[in-house]
Amino acid sequence: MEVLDNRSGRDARLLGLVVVVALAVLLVLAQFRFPTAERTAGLPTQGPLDRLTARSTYEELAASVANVVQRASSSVVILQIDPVVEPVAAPASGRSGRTAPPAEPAPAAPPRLVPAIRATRDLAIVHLPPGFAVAGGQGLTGVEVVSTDPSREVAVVRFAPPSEAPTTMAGGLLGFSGFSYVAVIEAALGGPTARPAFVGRVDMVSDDRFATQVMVPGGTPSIPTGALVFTLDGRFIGLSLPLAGVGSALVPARSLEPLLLPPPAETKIEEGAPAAGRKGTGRGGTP
Amino acid sequence: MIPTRDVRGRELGGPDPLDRRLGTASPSPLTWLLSLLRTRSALGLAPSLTPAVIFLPLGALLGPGGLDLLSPRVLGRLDMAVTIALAVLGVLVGTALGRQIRTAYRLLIAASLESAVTTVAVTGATVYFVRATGLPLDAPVVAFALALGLCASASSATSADPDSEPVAAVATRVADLDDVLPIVLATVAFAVLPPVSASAGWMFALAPIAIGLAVGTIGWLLFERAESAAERVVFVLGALALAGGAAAYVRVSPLAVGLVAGLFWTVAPGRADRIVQDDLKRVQHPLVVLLLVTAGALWTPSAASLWLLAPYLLFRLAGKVVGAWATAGFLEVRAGDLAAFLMSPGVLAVAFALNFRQMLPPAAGETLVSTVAAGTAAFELFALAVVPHWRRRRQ
Repeated sequence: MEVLDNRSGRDARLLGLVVVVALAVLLVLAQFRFPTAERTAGLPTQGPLDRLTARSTYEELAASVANVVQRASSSVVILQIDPVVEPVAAPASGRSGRTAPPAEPAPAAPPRLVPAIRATRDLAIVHLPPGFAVAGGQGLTGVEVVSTDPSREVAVVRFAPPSEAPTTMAGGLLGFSGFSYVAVIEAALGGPTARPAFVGRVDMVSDDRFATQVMVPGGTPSIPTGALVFTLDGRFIGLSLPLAGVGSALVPARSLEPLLLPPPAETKIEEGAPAAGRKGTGRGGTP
Repeated sequence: MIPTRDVRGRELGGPDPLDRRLGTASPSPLTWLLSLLRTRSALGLAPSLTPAVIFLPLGALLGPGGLDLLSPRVLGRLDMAVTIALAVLGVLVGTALGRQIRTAYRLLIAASLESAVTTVAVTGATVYFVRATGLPLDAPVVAFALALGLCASASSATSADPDSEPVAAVATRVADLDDVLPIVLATVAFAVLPPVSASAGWMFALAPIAIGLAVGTIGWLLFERAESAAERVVFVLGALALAGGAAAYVRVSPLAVGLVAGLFWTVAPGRADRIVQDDLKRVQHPLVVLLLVTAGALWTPSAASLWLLAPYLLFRLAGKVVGAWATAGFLEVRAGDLAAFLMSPGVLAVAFALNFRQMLPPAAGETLVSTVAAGTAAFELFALAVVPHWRRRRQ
């Protein structure tokens, strides 16, 4: 009987110890704030019998595209690019001594929001058209331009990484053969958005600027330059960049990753050089 | 002595009671390690000591974060097989419930109480922790915390040989029956909590019952009329595939559907439950491996899942101890012994997590699976390494 009492006493002590330790540790840990406080909106859950009702294929496509945004949101950041204002030259005096009338300033293009694909935890690659400069990032801090490459019209941007950041580029697709629906990710005020696009025939084209062949979708262009293209199961196909003669091409992850490497010392890419037809071996000029 | 057919097949991760009876003395650590490497055990074709400790890390190694042999596309293809495996587990829980509900009503109440205490402890701690730390979740906090609590409530008592001592036998049966309440609670909770709309709530609650009864009726009508063993196996596997497929199609819990079907087969006249159990012996271990490897492959070491491990580990431990203390007197066993045996979560914790992953938004589901998979591996190791010494020292 005494043994049983001793055991009950031990059980009570064990109970008290475990509960007190659990509560104490929880209270201590609760004093810390989670590193990121970004909350993302969840997708609406379907009703249990919704799938039994007749649905159009477009609804399934819409659900797939919404799912891609959810999956790819950690691999995409939204940057703001502003037009670069050229300094207006001082009016020159003519031989007659009269001052020339001031030149009308060119209308400035409005700032744009563009999607950038994250290559590492703190680096992203974005399409940077001529005459624009990266001005900041949506919900990002410490945004700085690491390098720009006018020939390829891309820029590598560094930013303070959120805690849950991918360490590599979002699952790149090794080969995309076309004739399928894809999700075209663009920028919106609240974050990345996506729309479906059907890509038919895709031709692989060699471009001296990139290490591997780039993909040129056939037909009327439906993918804007600068957009990110993902498969419907969330794998990265490529970044849409301008390509002389055909409009734009999808540059795959394998061709984008070398842009992150430091440029060879002997390589110098001239500012304002033609976009296509030149050999690009690394990052180009500085911001 | 518990009749062999009345003991569930230790599908929760441990050796079958029959295997243990036929087995020899406890192996040395080296023998045990070597046995893990043998083909049949490693492939899950025969029971091994703690499958979760082996197959969860294996899944993580093969998954997208490791060798990428189980890529996201492959895991997507496996979703259907996982759903059917969940339905099979539900059937096993249902048949165990159907057999013990008449003779072990007190055990069911005690097991449910123990399970409820753990659920409340982990749910409450998680809600407080998430709100206090501002941890981002893309699901309602209460629904997510409840899912974590229900995962924590599962026990398998695999650290014990059911025949070794009376408390082990009681703990084994408690562990078998404490899975019933989480399945019922999950069905009800997901019917009333957001993000389910109010109009669809009653459908969420009734659909598993309706599907389970339909599958149960179909199986009951077919199984005993089979003209050969092969035909019977086809009927059984077809009924289970129907249960899993229908549950997946209408997005309700396959565990609940399987529970209702298993309960129906046990309560209905005839031998349907024994037929199902006999045929399931051929597939239950591979299905356990499938669930564990899938959960391991889905494990992503995010900051959120690591943070959630704190309330999960601490309050599952506290909940099991408090639950054992609350029910030990009722079951006439020592609270410390009962808590020690219930410490191992087994495969059902992982099964619950995979089930909730199908119901929650994607990111929250992945966080839940990651937390529960890591927690399960930790508790299995704890049960393996610490609990036996703890009990021995106490004795």
